[in-house]
Amino acid sequence: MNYLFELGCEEIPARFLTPLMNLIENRLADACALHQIKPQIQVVATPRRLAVLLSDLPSQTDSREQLVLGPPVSIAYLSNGELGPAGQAFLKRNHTNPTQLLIRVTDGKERIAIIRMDPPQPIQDVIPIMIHSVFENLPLPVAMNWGQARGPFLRPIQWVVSMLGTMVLPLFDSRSTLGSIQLDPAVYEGSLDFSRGHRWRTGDGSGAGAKVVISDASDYLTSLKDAFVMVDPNERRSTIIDALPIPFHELDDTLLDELVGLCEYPTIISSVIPDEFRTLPDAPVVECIRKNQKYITWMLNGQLHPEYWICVDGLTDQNRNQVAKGNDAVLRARLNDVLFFWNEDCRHRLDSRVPKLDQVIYQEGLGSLGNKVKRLQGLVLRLSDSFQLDSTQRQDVKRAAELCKADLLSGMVQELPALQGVMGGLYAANDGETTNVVGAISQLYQLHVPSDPVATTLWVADRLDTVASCFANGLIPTGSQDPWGVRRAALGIVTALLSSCPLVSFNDVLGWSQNELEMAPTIQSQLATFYIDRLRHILVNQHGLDQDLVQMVTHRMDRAFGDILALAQCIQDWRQSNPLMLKRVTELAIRVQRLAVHYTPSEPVHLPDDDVNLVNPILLDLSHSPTLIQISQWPPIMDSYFEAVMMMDENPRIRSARLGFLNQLSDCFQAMGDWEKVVIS
Amino acid sequence: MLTFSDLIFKLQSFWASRGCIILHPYDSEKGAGTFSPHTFLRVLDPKPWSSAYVEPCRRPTDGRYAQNPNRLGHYFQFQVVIKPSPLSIQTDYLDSLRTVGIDPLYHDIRFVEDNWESPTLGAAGLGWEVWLDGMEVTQFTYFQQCGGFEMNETPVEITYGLERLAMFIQQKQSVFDLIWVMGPHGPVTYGDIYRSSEIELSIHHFETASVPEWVQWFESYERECLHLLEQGLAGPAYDFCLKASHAFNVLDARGAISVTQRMAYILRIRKLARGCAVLVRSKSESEVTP
Repeated sequence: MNYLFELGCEEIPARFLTPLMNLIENRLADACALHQIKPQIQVVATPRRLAVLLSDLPSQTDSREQLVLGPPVSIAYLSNGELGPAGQAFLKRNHTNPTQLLIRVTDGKERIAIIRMDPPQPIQDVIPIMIHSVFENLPLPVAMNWGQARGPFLRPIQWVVSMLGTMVLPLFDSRSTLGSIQLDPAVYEGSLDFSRGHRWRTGDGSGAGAKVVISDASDYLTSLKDAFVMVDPNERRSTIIDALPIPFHELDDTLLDELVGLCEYPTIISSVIPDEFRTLPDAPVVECIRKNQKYITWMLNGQLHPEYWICVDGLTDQNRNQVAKGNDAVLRARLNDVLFFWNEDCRHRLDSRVPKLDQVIYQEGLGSLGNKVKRLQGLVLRLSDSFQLDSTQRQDVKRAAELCKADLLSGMVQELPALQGVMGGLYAANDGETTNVVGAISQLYQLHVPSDPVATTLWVADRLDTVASCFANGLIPTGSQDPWGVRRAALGIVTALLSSCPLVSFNDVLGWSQNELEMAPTIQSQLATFYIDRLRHILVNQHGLDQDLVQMVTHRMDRAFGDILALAQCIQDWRQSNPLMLKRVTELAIRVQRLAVHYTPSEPVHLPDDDVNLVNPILLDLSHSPTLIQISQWPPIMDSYFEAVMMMDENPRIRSARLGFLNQLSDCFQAMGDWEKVVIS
Repeated sequence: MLTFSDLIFKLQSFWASRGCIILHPYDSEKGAGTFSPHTFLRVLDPKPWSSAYVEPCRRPTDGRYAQNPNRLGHYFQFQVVIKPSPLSIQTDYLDSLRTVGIDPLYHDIRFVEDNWESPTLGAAGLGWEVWLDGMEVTQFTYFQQCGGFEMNETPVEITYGLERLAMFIQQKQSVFDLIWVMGPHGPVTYGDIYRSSEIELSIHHFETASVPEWVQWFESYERECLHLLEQGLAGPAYDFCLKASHAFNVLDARGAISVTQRMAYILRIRKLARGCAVLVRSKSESEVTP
């Protein structure tokens, strides 16, 4: 048997549709599990409706065992061990006798209980309970009320359909609510057997859409399709995609989702961007068209395709011309505004806007954007050694730092904030700034690390300052809370440094972070841990290194990023090519370190000649920084050495000499990493 | 040809037929029809309320010296406010479009999410902007909060952008070409009536407004509003709240308010609006309780 539930609404915002469907589906699955039934669940939605289809329903639920808890034993029984009034009442309430009584412990308390066998329930009794439970205290992101204290829901509810097979299944016999949502009388007194078709393609033109009588729950999808409603979002999505000439992977997914959520019967028409706007840069044109009008554009080989596409809900031959004409006129008006901003903004050089940044708050408690720009100008110069910038590049990066926030004050960015950076680049180019300056500004807000060193230097400096500012200001991300995107910024910094600045260490990063910002020592150490965690995350997730090896090599603040990566990769290679060797080196390292703690620094004492003969290759290795390959040769030598001599010799001079040697080895191992972290299987 | 005047007449008689009191513009500068006491103060009162009115709005920062065909520093809204919101309000609204000659069957009409918030009024609502062939012609809002108070009976507010709608109906590319009326000496356009004042207002707001004077006026309006609140005179107090709000808008357009000061100004106006709301609420409660 099939069941259909449909909730008719005034237009639900597009962004809520998918989360709403998921929420309802999860809750339904829970409700089914509770009643031990396993129908197929399908949840679909359009802006005007949310529908639930349950198919392969049994005609009744299975009988099921249910534990019923009674009063605590101490109350149920009298002191003489006989069942008291409370216990008797429990038996009576459950229509059972003392032979069925059990004792169950809950929350450390013994209670009397019975196992009740619930008889099978007809499905028509179960479904209303399930449906109401699904809508009980629905956690909605933005809920509203309407009319006389109706709601709460996403938008006002207009109708409900409830059909079990070919029969109406009443939901509101004794109630005027759906779960905890208060409905209007017209809704809960409705006949529950008809839906509404497309607002305009069906009906009397009033916009309510034709009545679509659902005579059988199984016919729902086809009945609605006949009434120009594609209830399934996937169908609407593929209809849109199929109508576009643009390759699927080049479509803006967010926009597509929105369009799917904005119509019931999508149709696509195309038009052309008027010639007079072709002189404008592509970026603001695309952003204006996409954000304000939700039209689809296409960047073909780096250039804006002159056509754009409009998703219309329910196009007919009757309205086609008018709709196209109307949309063209709107776009013209919008682009006129873009043109106005562009011309107006280009009248002011970016550098003339810089002083006004002193009046823009960067963060409450952290001064103005002007302050931030001054910090950046200092910071980029301190970074330029690490990024190996030549003198021209240094000039460029300093200039870019000075100008990079000025576009915030342009009319265009205030109108279309997503263009921050990109517009700055365009204005800088218009002002005649160098290519490096233009590139650094325009790439400042992009998600991935820029490709050229000047842009990367500014990109990293801006993020270093953001992370440090947030830490200094107590805005340290916790759990899922990270409103300033501090984690993403830190990941970006570490990714960039790993690929561009192999010689940089955490100490450098922390030094740069304190650039003109006051930071308490505890905050500094939190910041250090924060960066180390990001590096570990990247080494594991982007470089595929094992967690334990990453832990091993990231134990010190002064090691260069390049060394950390190289060492971890090298040891991971060992693990794959020669796990036994890794095991032996690790064991040696740990053994040596544990013995070396007995060493007390003293005058250097030479090893006895016999010892020297045994470990001579190692002594030679130790005269310079030993390589991993050299170290891999040490275990057999040291094994024989440990066999041959007593470390804790009675002679204090000999003991001291041997421990001194072990200490040297230990230092060498420790310099590489924390070997205790390596997991040996 | 439906003239600008005809458009207003038709909307007025349509909403009158739906039980709305047809009111007239309020005689004080304001940024939107919501600021009119016909909306702001009425929705705070628990009694049912249905009204419709034309409201001239001043948004100094939107002035474009009459150079932009779509943006004006002074323009008109047609405002409908009904409390509690009827269940048929969407189709009622669509009916009103048909009345002014827009048959939805010949167009693409969409209700696109747009949640509205006025920080100065402490008001917020959920709803849509209504798109007519891609053009936003109406703001459709279920008030959830006003003056910081939750709404027990939800008011719905429908705000038509009259110029936009008229441009659509008359098929004009520029607001200044709209036919306001067919006069005895030929058509009178929107531009004939408002072009020069639009230019003059732009010059005033962007270039000549005397900053020290406006700052002082703001302060005086604020003081007077607080004084009237102490006297328990909600209506007159609200008048000065509106004046303070307009002074702020002028200073803002003039570039006299730094980003740091901005929030402080908004909070000061909000405090005034809140004061008026509290007063209206307490008065209506004392009426309800005998």
